[in-house]
Order: sequence, then structure tokens, then C-alpha cells
Amino acid sequence: MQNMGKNIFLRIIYILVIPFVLLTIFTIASKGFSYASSGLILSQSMIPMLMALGISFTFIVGIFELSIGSQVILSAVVGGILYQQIGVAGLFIGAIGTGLICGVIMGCLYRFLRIPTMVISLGMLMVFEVIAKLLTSGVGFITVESDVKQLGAPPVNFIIVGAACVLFYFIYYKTKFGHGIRALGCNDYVAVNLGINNNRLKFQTYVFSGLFYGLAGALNLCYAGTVSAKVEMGSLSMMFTPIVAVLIGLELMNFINVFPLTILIGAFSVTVLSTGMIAVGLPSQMQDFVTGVFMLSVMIFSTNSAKIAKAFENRKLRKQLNSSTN
Amino acid sequence: MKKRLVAFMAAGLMAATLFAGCGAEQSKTEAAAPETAASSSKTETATPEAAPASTETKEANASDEGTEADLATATEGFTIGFLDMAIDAPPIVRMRELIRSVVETAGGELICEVSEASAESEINACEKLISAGVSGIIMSPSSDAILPTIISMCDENQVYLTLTFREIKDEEVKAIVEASPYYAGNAYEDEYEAGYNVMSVGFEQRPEIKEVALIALPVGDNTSDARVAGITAACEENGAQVVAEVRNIEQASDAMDAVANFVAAYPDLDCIAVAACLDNASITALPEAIKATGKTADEICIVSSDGGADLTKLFDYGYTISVGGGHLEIDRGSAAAINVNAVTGHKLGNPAHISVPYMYFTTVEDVADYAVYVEGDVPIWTPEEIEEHILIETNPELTPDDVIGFIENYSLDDLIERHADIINK
Repeated sequence: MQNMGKNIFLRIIYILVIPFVLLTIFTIASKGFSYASSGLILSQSMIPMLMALGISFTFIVGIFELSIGSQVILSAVVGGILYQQIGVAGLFIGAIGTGLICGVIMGCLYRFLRIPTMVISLGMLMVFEVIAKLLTSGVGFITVESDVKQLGAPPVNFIIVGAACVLFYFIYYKTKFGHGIRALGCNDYVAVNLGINNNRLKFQTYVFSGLFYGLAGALNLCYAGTVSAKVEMGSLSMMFTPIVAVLIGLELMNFINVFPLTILIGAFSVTVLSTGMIAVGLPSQMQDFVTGVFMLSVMIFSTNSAKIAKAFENRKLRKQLNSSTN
Repeated sequence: MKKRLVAFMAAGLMAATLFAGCGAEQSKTEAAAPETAASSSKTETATPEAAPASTETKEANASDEGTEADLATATEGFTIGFLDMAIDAPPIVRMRELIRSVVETAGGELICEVSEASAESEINACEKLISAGVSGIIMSPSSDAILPTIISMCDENQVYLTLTFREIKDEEVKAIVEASPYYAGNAYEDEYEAGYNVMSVGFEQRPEIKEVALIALPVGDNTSDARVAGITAACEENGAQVVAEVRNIEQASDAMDAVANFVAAYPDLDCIAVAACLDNASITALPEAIKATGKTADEICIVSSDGGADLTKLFDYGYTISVGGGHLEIDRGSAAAINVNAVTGHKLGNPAHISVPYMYFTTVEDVADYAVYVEGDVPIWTPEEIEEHILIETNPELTPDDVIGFIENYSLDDLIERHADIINK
């Protein structure tokens, strides 16, 4: 029992290493940045966190998804329009409903027309962007009143995202859908041969992801008060933080199998990085360089984690053999 | 067999398209020749011999066209192409309509082609406009690097090129472009002066500013880089420094995050200076963003070279102390004046360079007159004023200096003087 407690304690330490190291580096390097900035950073991580929850489903089953940002923007725009008609309820209903509809459309395109996921995501990215632009009557942005902004600020945003995490946990760990996508993610050939309906699961993946994108759109609009519609794939830049958050989250799952928690740590880590670089006064080109290096490091570690683990294991074994022969 | 048939049909279709395109090109060239001969006395401006011809195209044009008299001109029924933005925000609409007013007053028609700020998109847009048979193109290139390609296309097709909101910084590119007889000129702001002046006005309002955070576009954008240089120079002169920067604001939420991060990392921050921003709505969101941090207008201020989506809203809560702007419409109008006069055979210069003045606002009251006289229903140039002061074709007594002088005299006072009677009717 004591060992189990110690084990859990160690696992928690491991998963907090990345954000802790980043916080420490920037606290030392900048006079204004400190561990006390964590609250602000956590608040700024909430919208990328919601997007990451949506992306994680698609990551698990191997769907190539680029239209995340455009779905979030479109959801926010529709939410904003309905807010102007029927108030806050309209904002959330419009945004979440739009996210679900976007997911259904993409799921149908995949399931019934058999279009590759990359083609779907690229095509629908542009379609959703144009729809959002048209809905803003060409002005290019939608604005809500400032009284809604409290919904995007602490503690309300923490409550909303917390509820989303609970929902995600339930869907991922406690439903047939969640078991199915994990099986597909492990080995889709075996999963399909065992009777899992690949196409239906991917359709459901699009829909559930759309739910979280819609919620992210609503929170984005509440937080900023304004959302700008982008065209010519301008929404692609919104993908970066959530994708890196999911990559980090997937790696941290080796230590603790609570996906929403590890995604949160991933989102928090990326936000610490971007905030810290501003705090140390790094020029923007260096910010982009550091961000690229960080993302590559995460990808390298993620892709080669098995090899790295094996190398450590072999080293440990060699040490044991050397000590036993001595 | 089926595949061979499909391949054969596809090849035939492509060949047919090619011949159709060549036929259109031939007829355009033949149509331009009689107009060129008719207006030979007016074309005393750029000649291929005036500057070194650095491309084969220009040398070919020089030998094909012979003298300055062969430059293409049009007196009516011409079209002007404009590389437009894909948004219909009120300032963008005003700019577009001013260009349209100048073109239509001269008897022409405006074709707008939406283009994003990328080399490929702009070159594609120019190709489409040239294919549509325009006599002139007005554009704001995203970088100097694409201009040799664009001026080459213009030379081949006898299309006048005018730049708006841009000054060519690269000397080699400038030499190539200005050597072309079809480069009519440019309208530009001295962006360095704009950044310097708007920041200097800020220091006049708040001499105690010491720490400045900067919002700008990614390095490489000429406009933003020049404004940043001006802002930085003004800071150095006044003993302040730029302590942090963000250059990737694409949504208002990014602006909220940036402001929160600036304030958290630099508690003594005095000023947020905006050189340029990818998203106009984000600039307007800055006062709300600062308010959310709990800072008051006495503790932190906003200085901006860009008025954002709503100049009045930018002055909410008293944070903003200096905004530069009011140059958008006059710049586009100037470019239209340069281009249309060139197309109608009255080039304003060899080429023409018009430096467009900025307006500077320090209070919301300053903005009130601007809202009435610039953003109101009456455009900054009425069709009658365009006929009388802008187009040499409609008022032959005008000289190029008269036109440029009228443009450079533009200010809020000038607008009030010209339009007070119209607006107060």
C-alpha cells in the first residue's frame, strides 16, 4: 500500500516535470515572471485545452484533421449571431450546435463518400472559413457585449472546462465508443477483424470532436468579446498549441492513465513556453524558433519514446550484469 | 483503350485552350495600337531609354514600341484592376468605392480581384486581371520581391501598374520597376515618420513612459518594420525602451493573452505601442484587454499607428493617447489618380510618387470630426472634385503638380473646408 502511494506520488512528479522545468527557467530568466503567474497561464490554457480534447479523439484513431480552427471560428460566429437574438443561451446552443453539425458533415463525408480524411479536412477547412466570413456580413468579425466576458474569465472558464474534462473522461473511458477508438488506435487491423465498425466509430469521432470545438468557440467568444473570421487557411495557426498539448498528453499517459489531466499539463506547458518567451523579451523570430524546436523535441521524443525506454532498460540491465559479474 | 481516349481528349482540350488564349492576346495588342498612335502628343513621360532596361522583356518592348508615343492609353471604355481585400469592413469599402469613383468619373470600369497577402496569390490575381483585359492595375504588394514579375507582365500586356500603401525599398527592384514605362508610380506613407510621430505624440502626452510593449506584424513586412523602427527611435530619444513584443496576433483572444502577459511580466509597463496588426478587430479589443487586467488609464496607455476596426471604440476607458490614421482613403484615392491619369495618357510623374499625410488623434473629440467627414456618407472626394482637381482628362487646365498638390493638401481641416456646406445641408 505504501509502495502504491509512493508510486503514484512519483508518477505525479514525472508528469509535472515539463511545466515545472519551463516555469523555473522563465522565473529565473525574467524579473516579472514567477510561479505566481501560473494562475494566469492556466486561464489562458483553457481554450487550447478544449480544442485539444476534441483533437485527441481524432489523433487516437489516426484521422488527419486540419479544420479545427475553422470549426472553432464558425462555431463562435454562429454563437455570436444567436447571442444577439436570444442571449447567452443562444451563444452556447449556437456554438455547440454548430460544432456538432460540422462534425456530422465531416463524418458523413468520410463514412458515405469514402473521401480520405486529409482531403476532407482541407476542403472543409476552406468551406467553414468562407461560411464564417459570409455570416459576419463581410465585416470579418463578430462582437458580443462585455457582460458576457465573465463567462470566459476565471473561475467560470475553469468550471466550464472542468465539466468538459469530466465529459471527456466519461466518453473516453466509460463508453463503448471510447473503448472502440482505443482499440482502433492500438491496432486497427486486429480491432476491425474483431468486429469493431471502423467507419461508424470514425463518424462518431468527428461528431464528438465537433462538440468540443463548438464549446471552444463559445469560450473564445466570451473571453475576447470578438472573433474574427479568417479565409485562405488563416485559421490553421490555431491548431498548433492544441496539437502539441495532445502530443505531450499522449506521452504522459505512460505515467498516469488520465488523458484529460495529461492534456491539461500539455496545454499548460505550451502556454508557459509562449508566455515565458514574451516575459523574457525574446524577439518574435526567436520565439518562433524556440517554439519550433520545442515542438520538434516533443515529436522526436514521442516518436522514439519506445527506443529511448529500451536504451535506458538495456543500460540498466548492463549495469546489473556488470555488478553481478563483479 | 478507354484511358488512351481520355488522355487524347484531355490533350486536345488543353491545346484548344492554349490557342484560344494566344488569340485573345493577339487581339488585345492589335486593339492597343490605334489608341497609342492617337495620343502620341501626351506621352512625354517614361521612355524605355530613360533608365537601364534590365530585362529582356523591357528591351523587347523598347524595340517593339519604338518611342514614347507607343505607350498604351485609353480615353473611355477602359477597365482598371484592383487587388482587393476579402473583407467588407467600412474602411475597406470606403477605399474601394473611392477608387471606383475616380475610375468611373474618368469613364472607366473597376474590376476587383480578391487577393491575400502572399506572393502567389498576388501574382495569380494580376494574371487574372490582365487576362480580363484591364488597362491598369492598382495593388499593395506583400513584398518587393514579386514586383519584377508583375512589372514584366504589365510591360508585356501594356498595363499600367500603380502601388498603393507601398514604397519600394529594395534598390535593385526599384531600378527594374521604375525603368518600365508602364510603372505609373506609387502612393505611400512615410511609415517610419508615422511610427515616430505617433509615439512622439504619446511622449508629449505622457513624458513618464519608460517601458513599452510592442505589437507588430512578423518581421519582413515593410510597413510594420518601418513603423517599428520609428517607434523604437522615438523611444530611444525619450529614454524609454521596448521591453517585449508580440507579432502573431490573429484573433482578439490573442490580443487579450498578449496584454495579460505583458502586464504580468512587466508590472511597471507604461505603454502598449501598436505598429500594425494582422487583425483589425484585435486592436479595437485592446482597451477591454487592459481593463481586464485591472490597470487604470493613469498606469498604462495605448499608442497606435493603426486605427483598428473602430477608431472611436479604441478610445474607450481613456487608455489610448495617440493614434495615427486617416490615411487609408486618401492613399487609395491617390493611387487611383496616378493610375487613371496614366491610362488616359496624362502621367503624373516619371514615375509619380505621392507621399500621403497621416492624421494624428489624441482625444475622442478629434475622432468625432473624422467620423463625420471621413467615415460619413460623403466621400473625401466627390465626383465633381475628382473632375475638377484629379483628372487631367476632364480638366485639361490641370497640371500633374496641381493634382499632386491637391492630394498632398489633404487634412481634416481641408475636408471640413471643402465639405462643411455639403454635410450641413
